[in-house]
Amino acid sequence: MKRTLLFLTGGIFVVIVILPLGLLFFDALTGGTENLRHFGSSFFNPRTLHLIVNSFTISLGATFLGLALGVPLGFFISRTDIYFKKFAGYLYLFPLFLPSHINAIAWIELLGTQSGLSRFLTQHSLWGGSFSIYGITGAIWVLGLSYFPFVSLLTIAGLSTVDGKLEEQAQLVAGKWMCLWKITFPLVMPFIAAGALFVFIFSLSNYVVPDILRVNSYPIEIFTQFSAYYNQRQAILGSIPLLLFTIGLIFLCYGLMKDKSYVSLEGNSRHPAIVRLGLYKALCSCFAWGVIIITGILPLIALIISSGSIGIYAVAIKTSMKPIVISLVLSLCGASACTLLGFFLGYFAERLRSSWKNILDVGATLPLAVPGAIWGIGLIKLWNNPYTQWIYSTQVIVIFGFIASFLPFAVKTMASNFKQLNVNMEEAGILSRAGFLKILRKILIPLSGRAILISWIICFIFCMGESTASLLVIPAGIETLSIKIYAIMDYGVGQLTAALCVILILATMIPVVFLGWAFRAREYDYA
Amino acid sequence: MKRFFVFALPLLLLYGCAYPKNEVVVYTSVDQVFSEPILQDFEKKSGIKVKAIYDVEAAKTTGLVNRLIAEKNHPQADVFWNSEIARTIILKNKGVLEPYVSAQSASIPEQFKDKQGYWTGFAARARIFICNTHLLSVEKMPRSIFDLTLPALNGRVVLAKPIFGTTATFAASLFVALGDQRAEKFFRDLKANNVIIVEGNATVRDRVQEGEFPIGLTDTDDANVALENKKPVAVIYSDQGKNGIGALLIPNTVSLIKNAPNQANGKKLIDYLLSEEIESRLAFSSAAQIPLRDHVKRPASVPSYRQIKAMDVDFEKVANAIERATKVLEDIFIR
Repeated sequence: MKRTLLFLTGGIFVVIVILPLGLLFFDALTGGTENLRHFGSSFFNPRTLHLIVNSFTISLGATFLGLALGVPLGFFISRTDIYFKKFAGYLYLFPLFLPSHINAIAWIELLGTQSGLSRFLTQHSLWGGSFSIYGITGAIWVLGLSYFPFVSLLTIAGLSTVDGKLEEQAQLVAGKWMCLWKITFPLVMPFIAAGALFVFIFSLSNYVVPDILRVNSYPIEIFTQFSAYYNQRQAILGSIPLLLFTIGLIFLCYGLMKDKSYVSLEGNSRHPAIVRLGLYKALCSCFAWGVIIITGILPLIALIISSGSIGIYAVAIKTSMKPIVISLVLSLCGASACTLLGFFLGYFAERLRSSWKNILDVGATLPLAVPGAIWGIGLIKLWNNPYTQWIYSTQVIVIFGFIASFLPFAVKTMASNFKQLNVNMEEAGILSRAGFLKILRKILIPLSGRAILISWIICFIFCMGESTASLLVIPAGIETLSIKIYAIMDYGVGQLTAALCVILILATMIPVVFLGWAFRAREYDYA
Repeated sequence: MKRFFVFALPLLLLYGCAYPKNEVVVYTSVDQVFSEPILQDFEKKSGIKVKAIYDVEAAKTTGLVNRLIAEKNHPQADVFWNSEIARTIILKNKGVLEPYVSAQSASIPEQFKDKQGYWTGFAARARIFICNTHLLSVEKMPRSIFDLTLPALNGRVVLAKPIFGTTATFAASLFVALGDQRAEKFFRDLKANNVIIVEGNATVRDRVQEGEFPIGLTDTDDANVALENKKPVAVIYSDQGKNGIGALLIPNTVSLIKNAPNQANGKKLIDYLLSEEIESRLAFSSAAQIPLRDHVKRPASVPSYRQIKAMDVDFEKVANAIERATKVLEDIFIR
């Protein structure tokens, strides 16, 4: 049964994720030496190297910002007694609900050259030169704020899987802060590293935010080949360095993690104790709530103010009801498919022998570095033929696009989860003659509830906000809300755009809040 | 039950694929707010179901042109209704289009039609100056694109990224009209005069109407939105003098896709779009498109295309110049 599942999920993964990319790269690399020569000469020149430096600066900066905000926030929410921590546990996810380009626009409203704050700082000479969000610092700021919840989310997931007994035993010989540093932090490291990896790769392949904030970056160069020259081969070749770098980064993560053990011998049978902050409670609460307000609430307020009046929401809903429903249905299907596949692929990526494990893990992470537009072209090349029209000319192709783009989140989250689960429990199941399905039902799924929820939430949020790949493959006659926003954004921020952004955020939040509430209620019942 | 699915599912799939459908699939880069009602009316009048995919022509989309190129071997679309012309010719050159000469196109001037019938132009926009009337008196408003390089306008002109959209078409047109060297010199002078580059034409309009800059280069449809909203702006058609090179007119274009799945219905839709009724409707819309036929009704605020001195360029040459113009402009403005 285990082998059947391995072949089934592996097969689906190859067909949906690897084949479209493989086909494109094969086509680009075998499309004549002229393309390769052109790519070589354009890649190894000072301008391209300058763009690469820009991209790395932005991505590294966003990752450090994400870690600086995300790890402490995750820790405070998960393990301390900060004020209103239950609310904080929901609200810190808010920035994920805003697609990064919408976040950039909201921050331009707040800190652009025409914003009140910018005018005030410039007029009163409180800032060296004129204050503006435009530039590399602004790109780091927006991308860091857009993606830091990954770090928090995975830090919280990691902290919740730590066996409380380990900490209790450690505290017999050391103080609580030393115990956190020496025991808890190393146990959560795979989760934090996975979060940082997401932030870095996402920032590296993001072209919209640097473009909006007027910074030239390498992904814009790829995009220009695509949209200004219609040279799909050059765009595909241009994304190869991003993919190679991602592979390098994944192996670097392996190197950092390889000798560490993350499992407890007795399973996560006891929740870790809450750390009482005492004198630091007010300070830590200020930090946590400050981060939540600045990263989530402020941009939302900016959008609500930009939308102007209540009446515009009635217009927005009236004209966009069908795209809202289509977005919800497709995203529900996409997130569920990603999580289901991610569960098994994450399991096999963690439990297989090391060579297969590495191949699977790299294969499952690489798609993150592929620009959405290239996914779109890959899907068209593979599925637009007379035999697969039931896929290509229906909504199924959009779901395939979601899986191809977001499966890595599910795989990484689940792999981090299974890294924490003790393999002895499965072996005990095998010794008691339980089949794999029974082990799955009785051990693996119940112990992975939180990781499954997190994986689904991440994938759902991203499916709701996705527009680049789906714009290229969405069947005629239907439209998602994100595509609609993307299209009308061309005409400036405007009231309708801002209202639709707020509706997108609310539509994304409803299933997420409901699931989160249901999961907490279930956990409470078990307790 | 299991057996039912085993037999029924393939049959349903075959039905879905093979059953002839009375529909037409159109890809359009014309603003949805203008194109959707027109397509809905066609659906009502013809009884043919219209399935549309909408797009924008600006920098942030990689959209429909790339999709049409990628779908070339097994096209899904029947008709491409483009809000401009250069990318349509690029599609023609890449073998995506099929000739179709509509009877409705007979009265459209020759310069707006492909000689081989691959595309037909109608309802044009013009590249114009949008000027803020609070910041610039009528006498000081520029009359020629070359005025934009004068010291008086140093750092005061705003332009959309010239490697995308209609701004790229405009740049390529200058390469054709002036020759490569003069056009390149013009753009280098513009750069030296500290022109401000922004995201798209709508942003150009916004920054001028808000008084951030006194002058911008944009399209008539964008400028008309500001005029309708009573913003303090004026529209100037550039280079209208005796020796001027004229303002660039950019027509909508409509084309039939090669090997389209519903060609007959595609032709009917093309006929409908090229009708005088639709051209008039676009003239009366907020897009204020300029009819290319004299007798088509239009509001008084929309000029006849004959009243405008149009830049005399061969659109085929413009499309061919886009790549080399883009490379030069990337070098000047993006590096």
